[in-house]
Amino acid sequence: MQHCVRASAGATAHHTVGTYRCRLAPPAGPCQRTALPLAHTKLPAAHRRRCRVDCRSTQGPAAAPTLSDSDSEPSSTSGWRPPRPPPPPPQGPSPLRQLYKRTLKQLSNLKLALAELAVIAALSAVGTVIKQGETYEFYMENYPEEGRKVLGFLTGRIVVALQLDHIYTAEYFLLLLALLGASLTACTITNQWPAVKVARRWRFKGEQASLARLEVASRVPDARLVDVGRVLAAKNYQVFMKDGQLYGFKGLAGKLGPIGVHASMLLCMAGFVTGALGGFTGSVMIPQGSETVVASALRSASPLAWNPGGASAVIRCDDFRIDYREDGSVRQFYSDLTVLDVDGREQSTKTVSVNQPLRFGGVTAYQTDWSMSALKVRVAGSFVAPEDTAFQLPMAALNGGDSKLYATFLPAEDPALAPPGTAPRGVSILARDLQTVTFYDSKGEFAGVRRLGSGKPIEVEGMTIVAQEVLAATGLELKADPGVPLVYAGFGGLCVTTVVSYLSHSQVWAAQAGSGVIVGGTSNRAKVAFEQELSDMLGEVPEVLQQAPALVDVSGTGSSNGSSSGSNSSSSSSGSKDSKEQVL
Amino acid sequence: MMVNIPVIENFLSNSCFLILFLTTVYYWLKIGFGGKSSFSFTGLTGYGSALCCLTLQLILRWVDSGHFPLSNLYESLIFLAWCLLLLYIYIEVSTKTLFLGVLTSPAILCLVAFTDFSLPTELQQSTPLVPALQSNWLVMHVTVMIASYAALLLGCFIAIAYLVLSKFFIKTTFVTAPLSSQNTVLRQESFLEEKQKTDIVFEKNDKNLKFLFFLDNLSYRTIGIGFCFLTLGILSGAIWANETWGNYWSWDPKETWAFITWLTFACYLHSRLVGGWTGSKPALVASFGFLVVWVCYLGVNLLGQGLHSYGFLNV
Repeated sequence: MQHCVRASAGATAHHTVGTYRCRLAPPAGPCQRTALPLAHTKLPAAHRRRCRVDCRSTQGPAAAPTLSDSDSEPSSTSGWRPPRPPPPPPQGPSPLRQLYKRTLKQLSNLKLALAELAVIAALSAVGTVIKQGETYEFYMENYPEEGRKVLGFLTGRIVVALQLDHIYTAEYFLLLLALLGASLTACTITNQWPAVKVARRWRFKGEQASLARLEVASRVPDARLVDVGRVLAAKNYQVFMKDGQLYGFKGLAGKLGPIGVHASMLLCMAGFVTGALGGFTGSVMIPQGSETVVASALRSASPLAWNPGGASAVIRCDDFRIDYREDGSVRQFYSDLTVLDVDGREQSTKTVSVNQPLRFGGVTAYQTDWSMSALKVRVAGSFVAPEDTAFQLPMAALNGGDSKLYATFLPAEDPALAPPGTAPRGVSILARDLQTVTFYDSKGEFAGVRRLGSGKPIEVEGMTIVAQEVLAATGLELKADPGVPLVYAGFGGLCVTTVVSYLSHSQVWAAQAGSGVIVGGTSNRAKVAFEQELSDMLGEVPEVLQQAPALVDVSGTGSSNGSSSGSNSSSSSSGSKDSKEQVL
Repeated sequence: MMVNIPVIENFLSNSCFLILFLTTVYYWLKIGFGGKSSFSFTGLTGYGSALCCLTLQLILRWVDSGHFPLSNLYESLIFLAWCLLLLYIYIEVSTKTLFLGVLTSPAILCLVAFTDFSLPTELQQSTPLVPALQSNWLVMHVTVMIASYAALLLGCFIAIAYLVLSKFFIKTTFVTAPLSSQNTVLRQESFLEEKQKTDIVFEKNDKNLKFLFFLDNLSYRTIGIGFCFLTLGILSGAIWANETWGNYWSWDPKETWAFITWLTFACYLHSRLVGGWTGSKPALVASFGFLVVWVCYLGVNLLGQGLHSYGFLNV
C-alpha cells in the first residue's frame, strides 16, 4: 500500500495505475497511455505485482478500477492484451478486530479524556459541598422539600435518589473512573507506545525540504557536518552520521515518561480496586487488660475478600495512657498491645501511638480512638457496705459537643428500693479526660473536682469517695488491604515518571548542503529552551572557510568567500566533503 | 528565652511588609517612568531582603514552638509567601526581565498584608501539634504542597496577565497564530516580514508580541513545575494518611479538592502538549485553575470540615 497513493494526493507521481499513482520508478518501456492497464506486458512482472489495485484506499475495494476503465479505450498499438480481471479484494480484518480498533481510537480521543477529567472533577466537587454519608433525616432536614429549597430545586429526595450522599461510591462515579482507566490504556496502546517505537528507530532526513519543515530549522553556512555532530555530542546528544546526514537525539526518557505516568495511574487504580474488593476493615475498643479476637472485628469489603493471616490473632491491650501537656491538651496517645496467636502464645508486643501502627499477619492496627470504660473508686459509707470498699463503675459516653464526655453514677441508696419511675439518689461523676473527674450531687449541683490518683477524698451525698483511676479502652482501627502494595508501587512510579516526563526529548537532524549545513530539530517539551539551545550550539560550530575553487577537488561545493555568518573563530583550511562515514 | 520572640517576629513581619511595599513602588516607577528598563539588581535586593525577613520569622517560630513551622494557616501563608518570593527571584534572575515584577510584587504584597494584618491574632499564635501531626511526613507533605501552590498560583497569575495584556496588544484582526510555538527561526522571520507588509498600527509590535509569547511560555513552565510538586504532595499525603489512619484516600474535602486541582492542571498540560493549544485557550484553563487552587488551599479550610481542620477557622 505504501507505494500507491491516490492521484489527488499531489505527491510526485511516476505513473498511474488505474486511479492510483505508483511511486515506483516508471517501467523501462514506454507507457502507451496515462492509465495503464494492470496486465501491461511491458511492465516487468515484479512491478506489475507491486502495483496491484488491491491497495486499500479509504473507500475500500469499491474504488478499485474496473475492467471498463481499460476497456473503454481501444488501442491500436501492438502488444496490448485485454487486462485480467482484478483479483478479489483481500479479506479485511475480522469485525471483532475492527470493533476493537475503532473502540481504541474513540477511547484515546483527547477531547473525550478532557471531558472525563472535567466531569470527574465536577462530581468530586459536588461531593465536598453536600455532606457525605449522613442519615436520611439529615438530608431531609437540610435540603427541605417545602419553603426555601437549596438552589431552588435541590431537595433531600433528589439528593438521595441521585446518590449524592455517597457520590464517591455511586455506580456512575465508579464507571466514570473505569472509563478514565480505559482511556488511559487506549491512549498508551494507540499513541504513546507506537511513538516510542518510532522514536527508537531513528531515521535520517536528507531532503532539505523536510529539514526546513521542522519546528526549528536553520542553515549554517560554511560548516561541516562533522563539526555540527561534535558540538551536539558535547551537549550530550547521541549522534549518528551517514552519507552526509546526521541525526542526534537526547532525552529519550522524556518520551517514556508519559507512558510511565499512565501506567502508574493504572497501577494505582488496580490497587484501589483490589483493596475495595479484597480488603477487611473494622474498628474495636479494647478496654485495658482485655483482649479481642481480630477476626471478630473485621468486616470484609466484598465476598471476594480473602482472609488475612492475622485474622485469627488475638490483640490484648495491656495499658492505655494519654500523655498530656501542661496546658491540658493531648500530646500523644499510647497503647501497649500484645499480639497472641490462636493458642495464646505471645507473638509480638508494641507500644502503638497515632503515627506508629502495629502490623501483624497482613493486618494493621491504627490508634484512632479511645474511650473510658470504667472508673475505679473507693467509697466509704455506701449502701452496699459502710466501710471503705473498692468499686469499678462502668462509664458511658454522653453525646453532644465535640469533645468526649463520660459519666457514671454511684447510687446512694439501693436502686431496687427507689419508687418506680424515678431515679435513685446518687452521685454523678463526669470525666472529660484521664486527669480529673467532676462530682455532682443528686440535685445536679456541682460538688467538686478531684485529680485522679491524688487520693484526696470528697464528701458527696453522705459518702466519702476517692477517685483512683479511669480504666480506658483503646480504639483501634483494623485494616487488611491487599491492594496497598500495588497502590504504593503506583505512587512510587508516579513520583518518578512525573519528574522524568519533564525531560525534553530533543531530536536534531542535519544534512550537508553545499558548503553549509542545514540543521533542523524538534523537541517535545521545552520548545523555547530548545530553540535557544540549538542556536547556541550552532553558534559554536566552527566556521570553515572555503578556499579558491581551483585548489579544492570537490564537485558542487560552490565558491563562498568566507562570509561571516556569525559563527565563531577557528577557521580551518579547506572544507572537504570526504566526511562521509564518520560516526561519532 | 533571653530575647522576646513575639516582639522580634512582629518587627520582622512589619519590616517584610514595608520592604515589599517599597519594592512594589520601585517596580512601578521603573516601568512607568524608567527609560530603557534594563535589568538591575535593585528590585532583587528588595525581594531578597523580604525573603530574609520571612526566613528569620519562620526560623524563630521553629525555635519557639519546637516543631516545624507549618502547623496552622498563618504559618502556611507565610511559607507560601516565602515560596513565591523564592520562585520569583529565580525567574527574574534566569530570564532577566523586569516586567514581571510589576505584576507579581503587588500580588505578594497583598498576600503578606492579608497574612499579617487581616488574619485574627489568635490564629497567628503557634500552638503545639495534635498527635496526628507529630510525624516526619508533616515536613515533606505540607512543604511540597505549599511549594506547589506557590508555583501554580504564580503560573496562573502570569496566564491571567497574559489574557489581560493580549487584549491590549492584539486587536481583533490578529489570531493567536503568531504566538504558536511552532515558529521556526526561518518562519518567524518571514512571518514578521509579512506583518510589516500588512501595515501594522502598533510601533513596538514585535516587542509586545514577543513579551506575550514569553509570558505564555513562562506560565506553561511554572505550571509544569507546580504540577510536578502537586503530584508529589498528593502522593505523600496519601502515604501519610495510610500510615496514620490506614486509609490512603478517604475523599476528605481537602483531598478531593487537591485531586480536582490536579485534574484541572492535567487538563491544562494535556491541552498544551497533546492538543497543541497555545495562547489564549490554555490561559483560560489556567485562570480557572487559579480559582481552583485558592478554593483548595483556603476555601476548604475556612468553609469545610474534615481531617484538615486542625486549628483552622471553623466557620
